[in-house]
Amino acid sequence: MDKIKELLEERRSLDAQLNSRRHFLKDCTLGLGGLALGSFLNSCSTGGTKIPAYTADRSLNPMASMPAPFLPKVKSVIYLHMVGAPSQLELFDYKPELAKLHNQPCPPSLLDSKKFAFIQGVPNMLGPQATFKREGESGNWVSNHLPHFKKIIDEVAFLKAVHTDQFNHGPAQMLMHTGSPRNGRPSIGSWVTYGLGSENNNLPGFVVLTSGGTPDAGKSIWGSGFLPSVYQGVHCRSKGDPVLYLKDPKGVSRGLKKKILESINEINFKEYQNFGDPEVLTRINQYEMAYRMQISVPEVMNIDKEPDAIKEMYGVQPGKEAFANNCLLARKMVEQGVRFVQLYDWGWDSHGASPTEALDTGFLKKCKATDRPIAALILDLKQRGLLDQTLVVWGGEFGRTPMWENRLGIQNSPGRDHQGDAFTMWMAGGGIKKGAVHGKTDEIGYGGIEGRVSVYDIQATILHLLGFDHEQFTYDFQGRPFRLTDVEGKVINEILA
Amino acid sequence: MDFLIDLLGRFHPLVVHLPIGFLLLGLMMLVFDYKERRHQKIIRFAFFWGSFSTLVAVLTGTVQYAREGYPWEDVQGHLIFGVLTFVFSFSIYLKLKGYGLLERFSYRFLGYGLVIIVFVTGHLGGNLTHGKDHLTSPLPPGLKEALGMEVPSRTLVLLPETHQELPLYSGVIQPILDQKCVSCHNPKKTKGALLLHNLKGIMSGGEEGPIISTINPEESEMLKRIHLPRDEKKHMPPKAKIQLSKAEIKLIEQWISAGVPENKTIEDLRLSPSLFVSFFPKDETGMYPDPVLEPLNRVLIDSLMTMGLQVAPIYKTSPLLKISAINAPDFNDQEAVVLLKASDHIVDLDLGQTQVTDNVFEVLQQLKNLTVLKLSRTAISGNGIKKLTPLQHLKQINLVSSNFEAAYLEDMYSFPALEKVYLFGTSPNTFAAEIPEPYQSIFEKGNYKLDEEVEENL
Repeated sequence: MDKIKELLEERRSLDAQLNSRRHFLKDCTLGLGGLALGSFLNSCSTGGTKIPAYTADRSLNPMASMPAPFLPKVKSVIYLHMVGAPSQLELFDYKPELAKLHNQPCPPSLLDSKKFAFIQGVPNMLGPQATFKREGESGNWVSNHLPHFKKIIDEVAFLKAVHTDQFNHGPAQMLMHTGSPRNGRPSIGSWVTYGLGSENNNLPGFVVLTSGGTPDAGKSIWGSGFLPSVYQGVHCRSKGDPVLYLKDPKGVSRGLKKKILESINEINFKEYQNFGDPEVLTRINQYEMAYRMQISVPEVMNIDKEPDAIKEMYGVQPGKEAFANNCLLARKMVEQGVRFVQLYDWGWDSHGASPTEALDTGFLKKCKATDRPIAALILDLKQRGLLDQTLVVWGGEFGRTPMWENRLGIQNSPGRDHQGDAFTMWMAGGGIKKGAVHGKTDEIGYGGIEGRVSVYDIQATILHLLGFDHEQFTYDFQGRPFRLTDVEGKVINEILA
Repeated sequence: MDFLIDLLGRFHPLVVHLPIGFLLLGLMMLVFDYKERRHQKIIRFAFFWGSFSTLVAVLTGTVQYAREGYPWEDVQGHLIFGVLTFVFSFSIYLKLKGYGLLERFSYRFLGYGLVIIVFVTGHLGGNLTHGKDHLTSPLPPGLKEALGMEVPSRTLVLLPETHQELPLYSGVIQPILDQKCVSCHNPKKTKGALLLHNLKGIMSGGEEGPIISTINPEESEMLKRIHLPRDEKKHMPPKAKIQLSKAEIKLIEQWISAGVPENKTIEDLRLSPSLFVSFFPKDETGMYPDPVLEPLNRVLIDSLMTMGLQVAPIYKTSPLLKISAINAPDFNDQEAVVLLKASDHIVDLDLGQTQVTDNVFEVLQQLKNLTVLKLSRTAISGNGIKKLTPLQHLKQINLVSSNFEAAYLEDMYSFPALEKVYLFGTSPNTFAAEIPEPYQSIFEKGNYKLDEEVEENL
């Protein structure tokens, strides 16, 4: 009973604090003003939507655009994640020595104290299932599976020796996007929108587009973790309604919807005044944003109005959920000031256990479905003057082994197991040294021998290009400041212009 | 009972302030009472306590000097002047008491003398505790130079192009030590009997032995001390002093593990440029100019924002502004006049997808620091773009999907700083227009195509 009394006492004193004269003068004037901006003005207007005047006050508008602490090189990011981990050995990391070892038993020294997801006993080696060529002025290697890539190879900086300590999809994806293999941390897109806000008042700051399926780690890889939930990624679908539950129900007009929202927001605001919970503001803001998004999102998500030449270049498939559509959408979003566009393309887990997972069938389909759109995206950004102010990141959650995966001791179609010690990623866009290659793997692509970079280094570099010092960009939670890069991370200066 | 004496010495910084106050007050009263001589008794009282507290200060100070290891060269002036303070103040006291043998010294001589002596003593004492440059360090560098003082470069600056040729030791390591260590480890002041002002000193070590181990570099005392937690007593530089930066520590480690080479250059040692990045001159404004500007008045910024414009500095502490009309699709030529309120501050202006027309160049030509201009998806035809010629910093113009016409291309050839113009999606005649060789790389026409046949080969 004493405990309850104590709690009641605390509740009462908190109420008293919140209802003080100072509170009224300080919060209510601003707050009521904000509410007026949000809905009173609308209710006074005679017709048409009226976008509330922009407010840079973060306590009223959690998505208000904020300047970066340091001069940013880019203002947006498009992150292309190939879910399932594409094989670096069939795309960018050319290993002629590995071809000589094809189908020979793996030396035991390579297997000592190594953990694999599926490999059992002694597997055979698997030579590159591709032919390689030097392309572009930079003369960097690319495989025959990516015929369009040569058009953009000189725009790209390769990281050939990225490493991660996770070898299962879920945790590795979590680590890549939230800086921790376990649940609970904000994703990089959330960090960025928290730090910089959104430029466009009518669109979310952090958009997620998926193709092929949901990533193994689930939606928490675009979650906001301990950051206010307004910063989580908004998942837009390229097929059907772009954002679920955004459409008005049958029989509800937009005017009625507006009135409903106004009333709800008023009630919510009273709640905020009583309890001071910032999540209420988030909610008010989300309702208003959703209302505006009813018009603006279908507009930006509509690729039909794009010229035919552009649609052809990307190879879009109207009405379908396709990576090509998502690439075109990514460009449109960045053009409209969306801060972070995250693309997930599922289906790169090339174990060889089934045709869709085999390096000679399913993998080739994935290559074909992404090669053209990615090349188109880079070129399209370039011709619109957007590539200078956008960072494009490509990668998976880890790499693949030089060994032939042999689950249950059976060697199926050509396929490779998970490998975290060395894999390839690339970046292009503002602030990136064009045509650079950083990092080198050993003769069979099993580990990095030069210029190894960690997942944290990638994150530090992305934040750096957006104008953050990843060591100073923190959020206080559970009594201590948290960073995206935890206690790690070094900006990869070698690929910066 | 030794500690009592030490403790007594520690009271010196407290006691010294008493005579300064007493004596100055006494001197003021002496002047005040010069004619009438009605308060001699009180003045005598002030000088008695003034000279007595001076004596206490001298004694405690001497204790501190004798027991806490201050070198004589540093202390001598302060001590001598302290004793003189006592002599002069006590003399005035005696004179006030009427001792005849001081007849020949006038009050004027003793008084002025005492003022000077008190100030000199105080100043020298201050130098001991706060450092010799205590008074001079806040002076602006220009004034320092005019006064003939040496202006030390506070931070090490290396150039990305030439740093490779520098010897690691003399070009980088010693300058770091000079900044952060030498003030306590030099021939004048040699804490821990360690010299760090030259290589010989570094290699000889201090009172606890060598500080560098060439056999086992990681175990070098120098590195151990640097890596100790800052609160540890043995941590170097001491807690209260300016600390070594991470990059500096990294370089010292590299130098020691390379075997403390004296003349090897950075290139010889194959050190990665990334180790030196933090010493390269900071390019804070990147492609934008770096004019000396006060930040724009908050009220003006707010007034721009009420028009629906996004107004933000290019980075948090910069006065330069980036303005975007992304949320103001109705923004037009008339409204554009408000931009003149920030005519010096705007470096990045996005008027894409607004109602502006060629008339807007009238306003834009006055934004003298404008560097990036976005006019995509507008009705701009380019008529009047010539007006932007005087803009010295204009580097990028985005005209994508505007009504820009080929006829106005050549107006831009004379723009002094132009680097890139995006023309994709403008009228077909701009795509067909022939652009003279020197300007071709500036004008990005786009219209990229991906070959169809390559996929057939798969």
